[in-house]
Amino acid sequence: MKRKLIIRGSILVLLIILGIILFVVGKQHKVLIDNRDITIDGVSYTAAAAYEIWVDGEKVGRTTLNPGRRNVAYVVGPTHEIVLQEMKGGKPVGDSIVKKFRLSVKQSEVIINIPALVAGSDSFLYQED
Amino acid sequence: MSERLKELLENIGLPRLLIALFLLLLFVIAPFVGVRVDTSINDVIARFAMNGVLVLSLVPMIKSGCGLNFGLQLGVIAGLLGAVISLELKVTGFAGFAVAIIISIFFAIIFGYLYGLLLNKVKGEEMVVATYVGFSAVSFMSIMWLLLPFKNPDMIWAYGGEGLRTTISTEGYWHHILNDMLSFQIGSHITIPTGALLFFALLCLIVWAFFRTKTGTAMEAVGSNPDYARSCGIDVDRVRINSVIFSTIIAALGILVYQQSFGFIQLYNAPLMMAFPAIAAILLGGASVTKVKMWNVLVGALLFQGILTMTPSVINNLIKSDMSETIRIIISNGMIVYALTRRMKVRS
Amino acid sequence: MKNQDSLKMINPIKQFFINYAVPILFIIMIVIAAPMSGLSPIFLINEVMTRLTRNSFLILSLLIPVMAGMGMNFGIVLGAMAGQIGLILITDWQIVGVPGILLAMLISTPIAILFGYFAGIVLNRAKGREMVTGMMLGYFMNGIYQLLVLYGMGKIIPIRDKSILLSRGYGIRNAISLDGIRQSLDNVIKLNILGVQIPLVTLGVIALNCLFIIWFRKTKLGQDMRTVGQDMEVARVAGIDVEKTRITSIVISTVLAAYGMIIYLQNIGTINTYNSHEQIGFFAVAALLVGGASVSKASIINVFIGVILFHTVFIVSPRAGKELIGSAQLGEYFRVFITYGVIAFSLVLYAWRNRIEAENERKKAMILRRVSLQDEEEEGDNV
Repeated sequence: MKRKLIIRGSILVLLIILGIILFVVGKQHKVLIDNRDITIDGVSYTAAAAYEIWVDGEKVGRTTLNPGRRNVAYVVGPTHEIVLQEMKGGKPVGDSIVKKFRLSVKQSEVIINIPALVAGSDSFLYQED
Repeated sequence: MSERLKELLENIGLPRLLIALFLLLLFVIAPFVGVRVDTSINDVIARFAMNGVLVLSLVPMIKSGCGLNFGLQLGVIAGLLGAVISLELKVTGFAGFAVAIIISIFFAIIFGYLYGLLLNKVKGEEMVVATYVGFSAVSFMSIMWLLLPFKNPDMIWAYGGEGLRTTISTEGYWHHILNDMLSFQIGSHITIPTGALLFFALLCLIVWAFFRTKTGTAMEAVGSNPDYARSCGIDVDRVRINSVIFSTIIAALGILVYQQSFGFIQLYNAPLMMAFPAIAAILLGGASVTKVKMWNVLVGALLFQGILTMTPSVINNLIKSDMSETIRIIISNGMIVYALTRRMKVRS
Repeated sequence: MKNQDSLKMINPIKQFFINYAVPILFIIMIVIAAPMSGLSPIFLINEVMTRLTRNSFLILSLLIPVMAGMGMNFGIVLGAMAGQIGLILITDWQIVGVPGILLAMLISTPIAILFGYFAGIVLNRAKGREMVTGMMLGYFMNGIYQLLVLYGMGKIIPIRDKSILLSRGYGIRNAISLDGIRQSLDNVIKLNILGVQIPLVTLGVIALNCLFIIWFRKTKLGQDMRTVGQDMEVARVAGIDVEKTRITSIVISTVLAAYGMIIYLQNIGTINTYNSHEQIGFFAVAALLVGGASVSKASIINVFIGVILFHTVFIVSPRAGKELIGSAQLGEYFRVFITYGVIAFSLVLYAWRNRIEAENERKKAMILRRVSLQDEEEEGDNV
C-alpha cells in the first residue's frame, strides 16, 4: 500500500518537473531590437551605424537595420545568440559581434538595444515596464 | 405529521421544490435589480402558451412505454410542412391556420406511423435512435427546403434565389391568430393570450379524456406492463404505433402554436434541438422516463419557461453580463441528465 | 411433435451484408460520387491522409468504452473540452512548438481525468441508457465549459495575453489562432511521396495509441472490462468491481480524447472555442460506425476503415452535389444528413439485430424446455 503511494507520488513529481521543463523550453519570447539612442544608468549611447542582424542563425528582417529603426524577432526557449554585422553602403564593415543572452520565463517581451550592446554594456537587454 | 410531510416532499420531489423556490426568489429579487415584475409575468405566460403544446406532445409516448420522444422533430417537421404549404396557398387568417393544421395532421400521421414502426424494431434503445432519426430528418428536410418548388415570394430567397428562406414571417397570414383571440389586458403590461391558452387547454383536455377511454387505458397498460398487456390480447406493437402517431400530431400542432405566437416559421436547422427543452420541461414537472401525469405538463412548462425567462434577465442585471444562453444550456440539459440517472422502477 | 417454432435463421451471406451494411453503402457512394466530383486522385489521397492523421487518435479513444459495454461514448466531448482548455492555457502562456503540444497534453490530463470521472459516475447511474445520457451529458458540460471559458477566463482565471480575450475584457474569443503550434507535431518529420504529404511523427503517435489499446486488452484490467462488457452480473459474481471498471474505461477514453483533440487542433491551426468540440462527438461516432463497428464490438480496423470511408464521402459529396444539382450548399447539408443518418441507421441495425438474437435465444430456450418436458412425459409413460 505504502509502496503504491510512493510510486504514484514520484510519478506525479516527475510529471510536474516535466511540465516545468516543457514550459521553459517551449516558451516563446518576443525580442524587440532597437537601433536607437538610449541612456542607461546615466550613460548615453548613440545609434551610429546600420547593422544586419541574426538571431539563433536566422536573419532578422530583410534589410539592414538603420539607426532609429526597430525590428522584432521571436525566439523560443531560454538561451540565444545574437550576431551583429555593421554595414556601410551594402558592404560589411569590420568583424561581426556575437553575444549570447538568456531569457527567463518571466520575460515574455524584451528589448535589445544595439548601440548599448556594441558598446559592451551589460544592460543592453531590458524589459519595458 | 412529519411522515405526511415527507411523503408530500417525495411526491413533489426535492429538485422541483428547489427550482420552484428559486423561481420565487428570482421574482422577489427582480424589482430590486430593475426588472419589472409585470412584464416578466407577461413573458412567462406568453412563453407558457407558446411552448405548452410541445411539452404535451410527449405524454402519449411516455405512457405507452416508448420513453422520452427525442424524435419530436418529426412532428415539428410535419407542422412546418403544414405551415409553408398553407402559406404557399396564400390562405390567411383563421382559414390559413386551419389549413396548416389539416395539412400538418396529414403529414404527422404518415411520419408518426413510419416512426412508430421504426421504434418498434428497436425496443429498449428508443431514445438514442429517436435522437438520430430526428437529427437526420431535420438535415434531410434542410435539403428539401432548398429543392422543393415553392413560389410564394414571401417565402423564398429574394433576387431569384432558389429554395425557402431560413425564417419566414407569419405577418399577414396568421400572426398571433390564437394569441389575439379573446385576449385581454391586465394593467398596462400584461396581455393574456387567451386564444392560445384555450387551444392548449383544449388539447390537454383531449389528451386527458383519451387516457380515460378504453383505448387510453390499454395504452397505459402497454407502457407499464407490456407482457401482461399482450396476454390480455392487446396488440402491443399496434398500440405503440398509435401512441407515436398521437404524439407526432400534437407536436405538429405544437409548432404551429409556437409559430403563430413567435411570428416566424423557422426552417433548416432550427428544429434540430427542439426536443430538448420540451423534454426538460416535462421532466421538471415531475415526469420520468416511464411515468407521466397531466399536471406534470402544466407545472413543468410553467416552471421551465419561468426559469428560462427570469434567470437570464435577473442575473444579467445583477452581474451586468449576458449569461442567458449558458444558463439555458445548463438548466435544460442538466434536468434531462438528472432524470436519466434516476433509478427506474422495476418493470416485470 | 407439434409446435415447430422455426428460429429466424439468417444465412451467413445475408448476415455479412447486414453486419457490414454501412461500410458497403459508403463504398458504393464513393464509387458513384468520386468520379462525379472531378477531384484528382492525388488531391483526394492527400486530403484523406490529412484527415486520417488528424482524426484517428480521437476515434481510437472510443474503443475502450465499447469494450466495457458502455456503447458509443458520446461523452468524448468532455475530453475534447479538456484538451481545448489545455490549448487555451498554453496559448496564453506563449508556449510553442512540440513542447507546447506536450505541455497542453500534460495540463489537460488532470482536467480530463476529472471530467471523465464525473461522466463515469453519471453513466453508472444510467445503466442501460448510457448513450443517451452520454449525449445529454455532453450538452450539459458544454454549458459548464462555457461558464469556465466564456465567463471565468479573464475574470477568475488570470489570462495574460489580452489578445485572446473578447473586447469586453473577459471571456475567450470565438476563434483563437494556434500559430505557435500549428502543425508542430506534423512537421517534425514529414515525408513527401509522389505528392502526398505524410507526417511521420503524428502517425507514430497514433501507432503508439493502437499499441496501447492492444496491450491494454491483454492486461487484467482490460480483461475485466471485457467481462463487464459481456455481462455485468457474471462479472460481479466473479468479484470484479463493476462500477469502478466502468468508470475507469470512461476516464481512459476521456483522457485519450483530450490528446486526440489536441492533435486534431494542432493540425487545423485554429480553435473554434465554442464549436470545435460539439461536432467532434458525432463525427467520431459516425466514422467508427461507418468502419463496420457496432455498439458492442469495435476494433482498431474499424477506426481506420471508418475514417477513410467517412471522410472520403465528406470530401467528395459537396463537389458531387454541385456537379449534380448545381448547389454546393446542398452538399453541405448532405454531409450533415449522412453523419446523422449513419448513426441512426447503425443504431437501428444494431438494436434490430439484438432483438432478433434475443428472440432466437428465447425460442431456443423454449424449444429445449419443451423437448425436455416431452422426454419426461415419455419416461413417465414408459414406467
